[in-house]
Amino acid sequence: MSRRTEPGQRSRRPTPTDDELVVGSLGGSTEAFRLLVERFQRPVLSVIARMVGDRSLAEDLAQDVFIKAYRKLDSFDRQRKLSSWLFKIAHNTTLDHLRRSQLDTVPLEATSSHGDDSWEVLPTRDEDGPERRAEHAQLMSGMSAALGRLPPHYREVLVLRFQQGLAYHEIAEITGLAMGTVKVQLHRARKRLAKELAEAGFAPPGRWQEEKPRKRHKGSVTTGTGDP
Amino acid sequence: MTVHDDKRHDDGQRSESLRLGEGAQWDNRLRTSHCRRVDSRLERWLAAEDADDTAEAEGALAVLFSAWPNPLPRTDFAERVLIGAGLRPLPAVYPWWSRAVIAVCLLLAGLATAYVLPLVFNLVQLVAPSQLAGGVVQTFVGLLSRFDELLAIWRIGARMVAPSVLIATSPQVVLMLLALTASSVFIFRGLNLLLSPPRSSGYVQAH
Repeated sequence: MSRRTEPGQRSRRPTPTDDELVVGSLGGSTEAFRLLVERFQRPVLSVIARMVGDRSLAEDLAQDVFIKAYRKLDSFDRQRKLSSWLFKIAHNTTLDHLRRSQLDTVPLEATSSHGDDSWEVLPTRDEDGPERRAEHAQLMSGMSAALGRLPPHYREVLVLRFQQGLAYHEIAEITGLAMGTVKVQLHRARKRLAKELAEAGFAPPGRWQEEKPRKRHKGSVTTGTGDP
Repeated sequence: MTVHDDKRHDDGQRSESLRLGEGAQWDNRLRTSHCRRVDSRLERWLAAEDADDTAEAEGALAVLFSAWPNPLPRTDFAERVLIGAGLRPLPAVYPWWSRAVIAVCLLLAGLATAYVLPLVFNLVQLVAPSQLAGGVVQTFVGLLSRFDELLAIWRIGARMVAPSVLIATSPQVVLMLLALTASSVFIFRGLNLLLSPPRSSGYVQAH
């Protein structure tokens, strides 16, 4: 990975690569590990927060992830992407927690895009007036609730694919599933999420049809109404 | 919308087919019978799902997710990770300067005690123990019949009051007594806080 120099930092040292941070951390540099944490804290926290639906719990679990990562850093294969490895640890940690809590669905989390510095403030579109922004906030709450009603494995693939923008093979590596299974789960998860949103009133009535079960054919992606 | 598998009860709860876990919250506020105005990004995604256009649906859903704000970690998140990993010591609950204050108070308390004790002894010597004991015994024996014996205690007490007031009103003694009081309060609170178990500070011990 090439060195990165951020704007306004020409006079400073270039930003270290992930590999350099790993090497530095393994060499005992606290600063290197701190930079590593700061680089990946937001994506790891975001994924876990969407999975468990509770921000403060997500922070605790995210801390756990990085502590485990530090302790297992000597076993990290530097040929792999560090982000995928961290997401893998996050995947295991989060699923362990959900199993221990015996939760399939998670409560609605409060999300706010304004007036709260613990959440990202995203730029608003030019055409959005106050009413549209309020509707958007309501939609995001609806998305959160709908996502919380999905089974954990559906939630996870949706978050990894659409929030983190990971490729199928990366999601397969993180979840330990075959790539074909990841595609099937993504397909089903999307349909299920759409259904949940439609039932919550975020789409016109009659707009979203419950999927009819189809016969399984070898080698094709099939959809079903229930969980695999 | 056609529901095939789910049987909806009047109170809005799903059937067992959707595996509700313990503590799951069912948010009935969102289940309205009226349609909201559909967000254009949501509309685009739903249209793509309707058309079974996977590429378009994924693109549209990615746009929808990108409009969803993510939680930001706390500013001391990395620091707490370093402490949990053992790379930084746990911060002292009370900073060094508070301990310095307690040490100075201990010193002042020692000095104040050394200064005030001789004054206390002088005060005590004004009324010899034997005299005080004698007056109390006499008073106790003749308490009911001899009223004037009660005055012996009163006279001893009166003898003590005047010099005490005289000593107590001197500026040095007043200052020292105040310093002693303040020092005692600080020492007591400081020791109490130092010796009590630390409060939870949110540091995670990885399991």
